[in-house]
Amino acid sequence: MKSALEMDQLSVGYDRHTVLWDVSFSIPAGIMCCVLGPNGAGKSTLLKTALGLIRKMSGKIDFFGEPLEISRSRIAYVPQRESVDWDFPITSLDVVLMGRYGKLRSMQKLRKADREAAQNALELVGMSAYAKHQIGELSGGQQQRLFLARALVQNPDLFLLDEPFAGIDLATEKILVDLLKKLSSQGKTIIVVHHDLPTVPEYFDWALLINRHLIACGPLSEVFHRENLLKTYGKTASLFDEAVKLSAKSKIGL
Amino acid sequence: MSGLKKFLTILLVLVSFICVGCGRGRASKQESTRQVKIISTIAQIADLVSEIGGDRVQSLVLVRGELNPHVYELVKGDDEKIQQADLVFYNGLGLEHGASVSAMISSHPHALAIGDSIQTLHPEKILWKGNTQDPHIWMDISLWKEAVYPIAEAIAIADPEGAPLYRERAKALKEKMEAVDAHIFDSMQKIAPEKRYLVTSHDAFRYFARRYLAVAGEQDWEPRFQAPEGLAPDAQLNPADLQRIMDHLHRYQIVMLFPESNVSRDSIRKLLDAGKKMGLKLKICNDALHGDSFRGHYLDAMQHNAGSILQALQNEGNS
Amino acid sequence: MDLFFHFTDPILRAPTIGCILMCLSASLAGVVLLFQRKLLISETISHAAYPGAIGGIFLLSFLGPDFERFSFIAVLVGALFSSWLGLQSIRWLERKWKISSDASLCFVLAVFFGVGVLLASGLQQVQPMWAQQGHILLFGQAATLTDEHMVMYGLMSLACFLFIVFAFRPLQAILFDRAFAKSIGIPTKFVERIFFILLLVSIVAGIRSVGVILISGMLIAPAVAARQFSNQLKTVFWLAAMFGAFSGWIGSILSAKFSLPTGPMIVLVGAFFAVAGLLGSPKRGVVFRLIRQAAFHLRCMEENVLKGLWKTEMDRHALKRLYPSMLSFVLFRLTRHGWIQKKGFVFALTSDGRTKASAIVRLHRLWELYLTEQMGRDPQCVHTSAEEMEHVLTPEIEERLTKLLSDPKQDPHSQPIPERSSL
Repeated sequence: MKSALEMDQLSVGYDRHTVLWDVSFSIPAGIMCCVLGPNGAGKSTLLKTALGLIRKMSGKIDFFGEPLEISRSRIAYVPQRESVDWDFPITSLDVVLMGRYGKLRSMQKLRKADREAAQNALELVGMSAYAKHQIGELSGGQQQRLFLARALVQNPDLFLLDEPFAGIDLATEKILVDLLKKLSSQGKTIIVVHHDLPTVPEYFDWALLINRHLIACGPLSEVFHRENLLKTYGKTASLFDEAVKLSAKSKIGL
Repeated sequence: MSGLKKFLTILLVLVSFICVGCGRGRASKQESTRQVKIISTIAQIADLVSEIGGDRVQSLVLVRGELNPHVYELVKGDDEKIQQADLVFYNGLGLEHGASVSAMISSHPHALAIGDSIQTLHPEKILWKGNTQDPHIWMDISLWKEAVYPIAEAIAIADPEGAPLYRERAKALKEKMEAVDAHIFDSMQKIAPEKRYLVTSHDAFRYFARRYLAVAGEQDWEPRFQAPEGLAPDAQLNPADLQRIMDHLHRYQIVMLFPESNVSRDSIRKLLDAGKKMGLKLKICNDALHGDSFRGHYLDAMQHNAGSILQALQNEGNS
Repeated sequence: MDLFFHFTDPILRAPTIGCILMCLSASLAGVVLLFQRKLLISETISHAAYPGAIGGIFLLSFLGPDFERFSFIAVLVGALFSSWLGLQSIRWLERKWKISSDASLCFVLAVFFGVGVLLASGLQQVQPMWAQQGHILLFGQAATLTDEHMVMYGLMSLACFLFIVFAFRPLQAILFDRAFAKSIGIPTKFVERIFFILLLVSIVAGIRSVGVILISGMLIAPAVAARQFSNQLKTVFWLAAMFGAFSGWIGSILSAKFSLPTGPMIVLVGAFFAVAGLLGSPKRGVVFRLIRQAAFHLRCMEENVLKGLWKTEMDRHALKRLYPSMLSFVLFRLTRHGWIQKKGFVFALTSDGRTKASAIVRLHRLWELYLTEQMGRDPQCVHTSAEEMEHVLTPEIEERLTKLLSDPKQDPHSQPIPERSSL
């Protein structure tokens, strides 16, 4: 069986710093995996590079054995909530419908199937009542659910979520986790950038620990233990950051 | 901090060098043979000054070539010229309304407004447009010649020794101007009255029209000359003005549009374009007229204007 | 004044239609910039176009006065070039030198415009006849637009309009959530590049009628106005185009009628629409908000009187002591609504009034209980909060409170909580 996401010697950098290097791992299909690491470890960068939003310096990325261009339609991305302007004039339903834009050709109109799929997705996340509401009126938890609905509508095989549980209430978090678990049980692969260590054993099957480089990747029972966590969240990396900054500055004459 | 101190010291040294260097340039340049230095704002005045003063004066022009005297502002080098001048002649009547020029004029001890002198002599002959004076009096030689004696007197005050010479030359110049005036008048009369209409870019030719284009005894000579832009060719153009001119062209069956040498031709080109769409056959004259800027000698330029107008209006299509 | 005359008369049609078209494309571009939060860039681009335009005129002047009628092409090409250069400079300053966005915008604006002013005064010294061509670029001169201009600017506007129509969905996705748009395969860089070209084109075209200094107003004002009136992106585009076109049309008519420069008149009309939107928009406008505020305040006063009368009947004197402001008006309204009636000298609730007052008291006491039980507040301190909340809580929230507090019968002060009205 092909792995859902496989990276081979990935390096990512900008302005002559390397932010991630030599990351190689393989996540099989059908599991729920969290991406863990301290601030600045490169978790979001990993996700964004996988999706082609950031250019990689070297290495290979494959989804289900194929490069991004081919497997794009099987992947859904749920970005961080702050990245969006919630004052934008758009209704909840229209946001969810955007998930379908990738499947439509240039001037093709939205079809009935698209609209029904959007309504269903809203139903699944418990937001049907807010379909015609402006997104500015939604609470944090409702916004996150909306984003997930948008991802659902793409009918993907792989979900990539960036800090979906940041800043939302416990009730919403529960709804989202239950939904994700249901999807996982249906064979979908879920990869989540996560920040809350205590909830890891409850929510996830696998963990990917990174701090600029790969610490470990595998089932929780194998990799989620004290030694690895120390390596991931320990202070050794900050020294590295300082040194890199000094070097970069000297190179450009500051 | 020593790096900063070094930098500031070098800067200070450089600045002081520059100041000393500039100061040196201001050494006075008094020559042995003492010519009266006269600066005139426009060439139309400067030409008269050279004729009257001859070798005893050095006549300079401020607004040279095709520059626009209405909005001219002082540039580098003008300051020196003015400081060293014994006399300053300017047109007045609101011509020079650039702020730096007006300031210079009001601060100079010996500045004479030619237009104002003429106004004192013949107040009824000054043209007004609404509440503004029309400054283009040089267009009427019979009026402009009245400037000659005031100029001569002013130079005589500065240089009493040359007074008799100045008066003599002034008399000769005045006679010359009267001759040219008569000549232009006659040539304009050669144009049939119904064709004797002038349309240019801006309102520079009203005095010209009143003197040379009007039919003898004609009270309402205003239609003889119209222009879309107002007294100063730098204001905002208005479609209403263009419409007014179109109506005027239509009413008097005018065919010829005259460009001016130093004014943009946008407005008359627009008239041409609109006229075409309305069925009027308009033409733009190949020769540009001297409106505000006079190149070559004042009298020659006036003759040139007259010649262009005569040729264009006489030879226009016989339809 | 025959309005159609402005569209047919050979003198007036080019200025009128030209202005309308130019303002239309500018306002469409402005909407995109509004949602990208980059409106200020239009100010910098227009000022950066100035030196190029002057340079174009300068180069053309060497060909002789007969070529003056091609000035608008020289201006267009020169302006496009230097505004593109300005844009690249901004990018370079931000990326290479890490200078903040507003600093680099200001810097490029000042430097380019300064160079332009120098060139313009140089032009005036060297080629005075052509200098006027440069002068009209500052505040625009619509009066001398000819039909050729109109056709050319019309094509430019059409290009902008078609782009918005064809690229609406990708544009909407990019403006809302750029990362997501890219992730589903929308060619974000390509769309943005095309937009920037059209932005440059619409600004440079607009310079002729509205001028370098004010053209950014025509990008900003219609977009701001349109945003106030709609919550749909498509409608915002349509409204902005409409406001822009109207500003161009009415502005050019007014400037012709009152002999005032076109550029400033157009921008003033546009600003009028923007202000009207900010004040008068039904949802967000200040005027309606003030009205709603006043209505809410009145409702609160009415409900307070109802609550007072629920406890006991009162005569006017007693009411006046407790509720001094606007008492007569409040009593009038309550009587009209059928919630109170006058029995002799005393005011009392009708049966409908009693139901309504009970509901308010219920909300008050529920909220007090919620604060003390769930939020740990001291029972002495909850009254003020409840006074405020009783007017605001919705039926949905009431239901949640009831459920949460397990349908309570008593409030923290041991007073009974009225039943839910069965309607």
